[in-house]
Amino acid sequence: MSENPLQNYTEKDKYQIFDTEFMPHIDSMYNFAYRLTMDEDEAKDLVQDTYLKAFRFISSFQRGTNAKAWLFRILKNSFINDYRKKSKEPAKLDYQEVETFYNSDEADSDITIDLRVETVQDMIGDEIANALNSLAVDFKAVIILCDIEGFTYEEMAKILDIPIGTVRSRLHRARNLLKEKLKGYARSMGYKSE
Amino acid sequence: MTTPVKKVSGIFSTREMATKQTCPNHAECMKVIQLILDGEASNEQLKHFNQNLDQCLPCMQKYNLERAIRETLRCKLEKKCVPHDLIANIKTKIDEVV
Ligand SMILES: [Zn+2]
Repeated sequence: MSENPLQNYTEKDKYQIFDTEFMPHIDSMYNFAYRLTMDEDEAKDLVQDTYLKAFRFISSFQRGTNAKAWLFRILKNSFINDYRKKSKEPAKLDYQEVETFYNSDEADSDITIDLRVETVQDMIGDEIANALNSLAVDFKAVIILCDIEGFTYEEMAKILDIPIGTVRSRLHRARNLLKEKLKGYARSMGYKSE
Repeated sequence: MTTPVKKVSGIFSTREMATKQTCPNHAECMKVIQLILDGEASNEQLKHFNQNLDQCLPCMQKYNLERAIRETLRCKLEKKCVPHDLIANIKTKIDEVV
């Protein structure tokens, strides 16, 4: 957040940027926060914290640049700090290990997931949501950022503070996990899998 | 002995011109498929993909599946409405701080 030189905004500028560049993203922000916390009240608090921080640090935001990515990055950081404090979640995976494996050539050559297109298309929102929610939060986050919010890999790298290569491999891993969940779910719900 | 097969593209081997039941390059194909669906593929990759997709049955199926998963995520995940007091709360808090 400190790559840009500090801007000299008047109070009026600040409010204007806040209203016209930050507030329009509140829908996406709230939905992202909800998917991360899985709790409406926590999501509210997280979004509120994020916007208050955004206002406080508004002089490090350059007007007309990518406000959505900037806000998402603050939200993600707030989430990580809160979540570490509250330590509600189980220990994180060792991504280094996972991602090193996934960067190797043979990583996905053997993954044959016989999930049918029709099965996926027939699923209802709750089924998809359950599959997504069962993923570890870092995997869930990349899928939301990419597939639902439409961020580019480069934007995701900035939001998550990781290299682009890691974005790519984490997404890849996340998608394979999601497919496994969908497949298991389809089987338990009696969809034909083959 | 077999004569070396000229590679037309870097992505799909063109050993058989008919639709292939197996993909000799599946890992590589999958990487490109992800890039294309994520809008991150280069023009070169896109071109190769369009020229070769119909020759590679398993990759065509994977492409369709990957696309269906993305569409389902985008269209069917419930969107939460922002609680009506959230925006007002934020503005009040900001006015307090300033
Ligand atoms: Zn292929």
